[in-house]
Amino acid sequence: MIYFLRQYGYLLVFSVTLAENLGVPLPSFPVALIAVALAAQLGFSLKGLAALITLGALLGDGLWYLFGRLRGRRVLRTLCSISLNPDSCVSRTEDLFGRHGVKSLLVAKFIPGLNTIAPPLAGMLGISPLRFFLVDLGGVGLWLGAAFILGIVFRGQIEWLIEWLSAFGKVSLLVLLVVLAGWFLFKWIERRRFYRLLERSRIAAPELKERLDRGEDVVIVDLRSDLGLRLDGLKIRGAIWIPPQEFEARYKEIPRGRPVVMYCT
Amino acid sequence: MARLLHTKGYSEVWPLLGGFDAWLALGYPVEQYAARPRLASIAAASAS
Repeated sequence: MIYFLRQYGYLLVFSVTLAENLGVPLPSFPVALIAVALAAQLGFSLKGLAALITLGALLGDGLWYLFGRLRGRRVLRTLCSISLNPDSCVSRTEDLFGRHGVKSLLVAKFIPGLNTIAPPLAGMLGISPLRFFLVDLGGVGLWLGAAFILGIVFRGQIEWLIEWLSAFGKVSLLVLLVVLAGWFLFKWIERRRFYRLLERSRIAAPELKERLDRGEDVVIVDLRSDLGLRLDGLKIRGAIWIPPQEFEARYKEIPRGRPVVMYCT
Repeated sequence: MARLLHTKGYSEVWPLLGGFDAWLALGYPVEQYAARPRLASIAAASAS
C-alpha cells in the first residue's frame, strides 16, 4: 500500500479532491490529512500537495460555477432533483445564499450539501468570476489549512494506523473498503439531512392541494395587503385573509393545533 | 410572520412556495372575497 501511495499519491490526492468538489461523495478531507501526515515518509512535498489540492478543489468548484453561470436555475434544479421536493430545495438554497451572500463559499467546504451547491449558485447569482475565484480560494485555503494542521498534529497516530493496516496486507484493503463504504453512507445520510432541512421550511402548491384533497385540516392564511387582493378579488378557497399590517393584532384568529399555510402574492 | 407564529406556539407553519400566483397558475380552487373589491379603489390603486 505504501508503495502504491508513493507511486500514485499525488494523482490520488488530486483526483479525489477534484471528484469530491464535482459532487462525488468521496472522502477528500481524510485523504488530504493522511497525505500531509505521511508526506515526510513518502517523500511528498507539502507545497506540492497544497498546490494540487487547491487546484483540484478550484477546478471542481470552477466547473460548477461556470455551469451555474451558463445554465442558471436548471443546474440547481438538477442538483436538487435528488431531494424529494425540488421546488422547495431550490428556493431554500437561494434564501440561504441570499442571507449570507458570497461569504457562504468560505465555509461551504465544511457543510455537507452546501459544498456542491454553493459554487453553481454563485454563478447563477451573477457573482463575477474574479470575486468567485478569490472567495473560493479563501474557502479552499481554510479547508486545506484545517487538513494540514490536523495532519501534522496527528502525524504519529496516522503513521501508526497505516503501519498497522499494511501489516495485515490484503485484509487491510478490505478494511479500507469497508471504511470507504461507511464514509459513502455517512455522506449520503448527511446530504439527505441537509436537503430535508432545506425542504422543511416551505410547501409547494401541488403538495398543499394534495393535502387538502386528502381532507387534511390545513388552515390557509392569505397575507396579501389589500391592494394585492383587490387586483383580482380572489383567494385560495377557504383561506382566512389577514393583511400583513394587522397580522400582529389578529394572528389569534388562526386556529391552533392545525397545520398552517401562509401565502402572499 | 411564520416565525412569529412559531414563537406563539403554532407548531406547523409553512409559507406557500410561489405564493398565490403559483396556486392560480396551476388552476387550483379559488373563491371570491366575501366583500367584493370596490372599483373606485382599484382605479385609485392603479393610478398611483
